[in-house]
Amino acid sequence: MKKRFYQPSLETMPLEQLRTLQLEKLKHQVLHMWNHVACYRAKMEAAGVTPDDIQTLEDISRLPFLSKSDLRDEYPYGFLAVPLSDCIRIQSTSGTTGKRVIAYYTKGDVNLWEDCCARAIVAAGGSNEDVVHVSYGYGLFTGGAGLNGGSQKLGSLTLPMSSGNTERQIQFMQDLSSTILCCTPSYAAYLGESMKSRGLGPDDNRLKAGIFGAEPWTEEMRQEIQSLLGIKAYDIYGLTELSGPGVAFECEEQKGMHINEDHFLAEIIDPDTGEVLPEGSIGELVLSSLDKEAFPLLRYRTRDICRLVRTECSCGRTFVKMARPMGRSDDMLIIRGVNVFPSQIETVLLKEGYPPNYMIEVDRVRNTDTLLIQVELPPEHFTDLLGDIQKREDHLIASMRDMLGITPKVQLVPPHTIPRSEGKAVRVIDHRKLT
Amino acid sequence: MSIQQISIFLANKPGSVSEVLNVLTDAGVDLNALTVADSSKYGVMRLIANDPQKALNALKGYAAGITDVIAVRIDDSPGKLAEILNLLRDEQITLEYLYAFVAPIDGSAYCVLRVPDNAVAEECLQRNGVRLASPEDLYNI
Repeated sequence: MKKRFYQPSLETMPLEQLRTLQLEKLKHQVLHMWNHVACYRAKMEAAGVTPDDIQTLEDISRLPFLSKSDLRDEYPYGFLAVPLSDCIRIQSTSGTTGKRVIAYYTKGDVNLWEDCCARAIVAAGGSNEDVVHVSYGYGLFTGGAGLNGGSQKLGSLTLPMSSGNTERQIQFMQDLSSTILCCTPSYAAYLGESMKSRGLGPDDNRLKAGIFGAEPWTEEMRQEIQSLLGIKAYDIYGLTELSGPGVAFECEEQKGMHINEDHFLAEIIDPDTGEVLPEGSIGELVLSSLDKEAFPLLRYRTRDICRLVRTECSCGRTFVKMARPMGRSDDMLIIRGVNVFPSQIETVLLKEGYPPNYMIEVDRVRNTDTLLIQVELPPEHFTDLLGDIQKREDHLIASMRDMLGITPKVQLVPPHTIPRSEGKAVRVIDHRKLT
Repeated sequence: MSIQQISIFLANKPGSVSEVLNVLTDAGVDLNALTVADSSKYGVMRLIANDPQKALNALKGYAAGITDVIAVRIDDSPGKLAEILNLLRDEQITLEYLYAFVAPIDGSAYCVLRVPDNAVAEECLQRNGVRLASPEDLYNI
């Protein structure tokens, strides 16, 4: 049976009713942390705020922020809010930006998380008649577990492929007629490319949709994946700290992700001052869980820079939409004093007809920052004249300068020489030692 | 009369050239001429093979292509190549690059020329009695 929503009464709840539900849940969540997470209670006490002070949703701004370093400092049990005997699962962050964070889940937490993922699959057109091909990594990473759980809840046939072994991915996709692909956008592009090199075009698979997340990507990359695989590509957002993928997901409009506001409360703040910004402003996304048991978090600073938009959506969902993050403030490079996001570089490359396979190297030579972008020369752009290759590089440098405001070095390299990622793509190497 | 030259974009790193040669060897392609142009950042390998299409098919996945070039057959004696290039100079025909070699069978020398417009250069050379090499001449060395 095709459904438009997984949980219609929640996903389309009128705003006023949603506000009431959020406030009620928020009060409980604050009390839960006050009673069971000593380090957060200490922070609240230091800020002079008690659970009784939370009388409206706006009062949340009185609560102290949490950051990744707070979670690391309390590794491994500091934020655990229930007895371990009530927990049934852990997941963990990749540790790409430092020490891992471990998140705990009760049965209820897993249930809530899987609901969020099931909503995302339904929003991408999924139902129990679909074959959901999950190529996110399984294990500590939340990608595989989240979409696997959501897909099973929905009753779809779930293929727990995990990442890697591209040959097998393509074979199963063909033999079992996968209809929905879930993985990182860079792996989706890689799968598409691999299929193309085997002579398999967009009509040679049964895929209709993809749910891609866990790393920053761009609208241009979406177009590329859509045409390579012949699908509609949907964005999904989440963090292990808050549960995993499914905190927010895209609907058929493909214009921003609905945040599951019955479970998460979103704010946008000025990353420098911590001040809450009015709706529609660009700033750092701050999330609070509203009904988590084992690992509740209040005012968690995601480091993701984006914008929230609450307009009527043609899909019928009332949840606020977040624009795809421009990048994490962690990913942001400061080069010669200019803020550079890898996603800006990707945008230029795709516009100029290059594949989204690139490597960014930053270094400091004689006290000046250098930015080198290595990108693959697509076979169809080949010329036998060195001068023409140089012209291509010069043209790319000029386009990059227009986008970034600084002049990078560009190095074209032969096709398929930049390593492909099967999980989160590593695209930046920063050689600067600034400590 | 154009000769089909194979050109390949290469990274500046040890083993790039031998990798391509191994691919061509495995495909059973015979090479008759080969040159590598380098810049500080990358190289372009250019070669004449006995079967250009087969060579190109073997190089799928590389940034490689077929370039139409012309070739002249000249006597292997001093001044002969200069005479031919003077003809082109006199008509303001630019050379992008060239490479020359002596064929082992009949002792003739060949010079492969990359010019902006093959037809213009061919007309100039033929008008002046220069023997252009046919594709078969070069593929079958």
